[in-house]
Amino acid sequence: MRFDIVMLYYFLVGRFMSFIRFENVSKSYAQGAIILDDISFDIDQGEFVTIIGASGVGKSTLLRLIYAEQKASSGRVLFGDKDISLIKKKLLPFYRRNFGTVFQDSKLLENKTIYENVAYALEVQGKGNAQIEEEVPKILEIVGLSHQYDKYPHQVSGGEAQRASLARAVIHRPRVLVADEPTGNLDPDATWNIMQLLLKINEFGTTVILATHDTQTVDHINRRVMVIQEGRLVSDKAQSKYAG
Amino acid sequence: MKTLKFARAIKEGFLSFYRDKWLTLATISVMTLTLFLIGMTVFLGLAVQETITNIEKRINISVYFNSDVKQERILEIQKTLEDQKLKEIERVEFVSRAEALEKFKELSGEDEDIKNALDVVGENPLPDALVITATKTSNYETISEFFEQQYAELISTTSFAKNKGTISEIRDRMVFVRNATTFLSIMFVAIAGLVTFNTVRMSIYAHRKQFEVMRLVGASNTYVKIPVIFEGILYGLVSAVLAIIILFITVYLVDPFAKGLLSDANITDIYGRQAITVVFAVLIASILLGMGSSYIAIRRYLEK
Repeated sequence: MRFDIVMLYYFLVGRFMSFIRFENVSKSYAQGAIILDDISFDIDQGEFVTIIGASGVGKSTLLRLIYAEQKASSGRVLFGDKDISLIKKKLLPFYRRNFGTVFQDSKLLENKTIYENVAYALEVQGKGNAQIEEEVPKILEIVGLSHQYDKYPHQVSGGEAQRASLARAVIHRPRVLVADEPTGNLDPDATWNIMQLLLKINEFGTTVILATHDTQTVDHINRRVMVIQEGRLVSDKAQSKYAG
Repeated sequence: MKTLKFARAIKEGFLSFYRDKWLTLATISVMTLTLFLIGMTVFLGLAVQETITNIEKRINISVYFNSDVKQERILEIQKTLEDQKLKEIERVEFVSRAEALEKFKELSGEDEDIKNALDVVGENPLPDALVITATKTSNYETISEFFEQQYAELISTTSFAKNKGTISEIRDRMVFVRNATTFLSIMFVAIAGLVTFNTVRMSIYAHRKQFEVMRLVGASNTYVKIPVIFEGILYGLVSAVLAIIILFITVYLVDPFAKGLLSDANITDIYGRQAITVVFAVLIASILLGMGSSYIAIRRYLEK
């Protein structure tokens, strides 16, 4: 019950406050390497934000700070108006259920079928079998995988695996979809396919945060772009094409 | 919701056990071998124990009485001893000189010299005796001393005086065998435990990426942990059953060769008597090993 109160809190507070906020966030490792340097920004609910930058500039680290896989070295990351570094370790899995995540590698569970992989995201939340049996086929149809549901991840193409990963990321209706180079391994057709799905998901009201180094795609979708260079946020334009 | 999630976690464990066939096979074969080793050690320990007990039962001493002591007096002493129920003494048996002669003749068989010697003596040269079996080998000295003090005027000698060296030697060796068996058992079980622990750890290491993904998808640590621990228990159970079957077969095959080694008991009998102990030891060891190893091994992947 307590967890539901936490969720409800996030849900209500998110309505009135800026949704995700970075306040002077830096991240460095003990060895002294500075990954992110004094970054501040706001993301509102329902936005589609693209974070662009070359490999290794800290895009993935920035995303990990959002879903609390890593902690900031200094500064604050706020979700709603709550400093996420204050969330108890035990409650982190529940906090993370606000997010869906997609990565360059699909990170599907190898010994589960596509169907089971997608269903797993609902199972861990204790959703009933009836709901699972109703919703999983629906989402698989949306991402175009109805015919592949009983295949294992190694039996499908990279694009299909990525679509399965996307289905798994959104099936529990997260408030934010975090996509880290989701098209990094894909050919142009499959890339476009995934981008279309991301836009569609955003239309349904889910905030999408997409990190990529693929400037062409970014230009094409024409949404808010944040540019990161050497750990610093060098440009943040509401609606833009990436001009370099 | 708790029950549903628990049932799902158990199902996850089953699926992983069943689907990662090679990993399961590798883990189970190593575990079966180590459990077999544990089972064999436990069984050998029990067999040695039983053999020692058998040998101890056969040691006894004879108290020889002077020839002028009447049989009635000796029987009286026997009765006194039996009535007192001393904790050092297991059994007191009266062997008359006539019985002793019979036995002696039987043992010496067709030896002409002995026959002639007996003929020359003319009468039965053997004394009446009480044959005493002690509860523990170490008690013989006390018993012997007791007789020498209490009935000094009645007895001529005790066989303990003659066999003192042999009895204490047997005793020392048995103590050594017992200690050596215990030491070896502990060694083997420790080694087997370590091997199993490392095997389970490697099997979990092979899955480490999955744990990260599960947590990303929103699984709580407990939800990730339960299937792994349950899978560990499954490894343990299946390995235990296999190990027990192999143990039975081994004992059955080795039995003909071991006859005589273990005095009168053959090892199938001993195994039959100790089977429940061995089966329990193997089962409990396996479940604890499987469960404990996976519990310890999974923790480091969930620390974050």
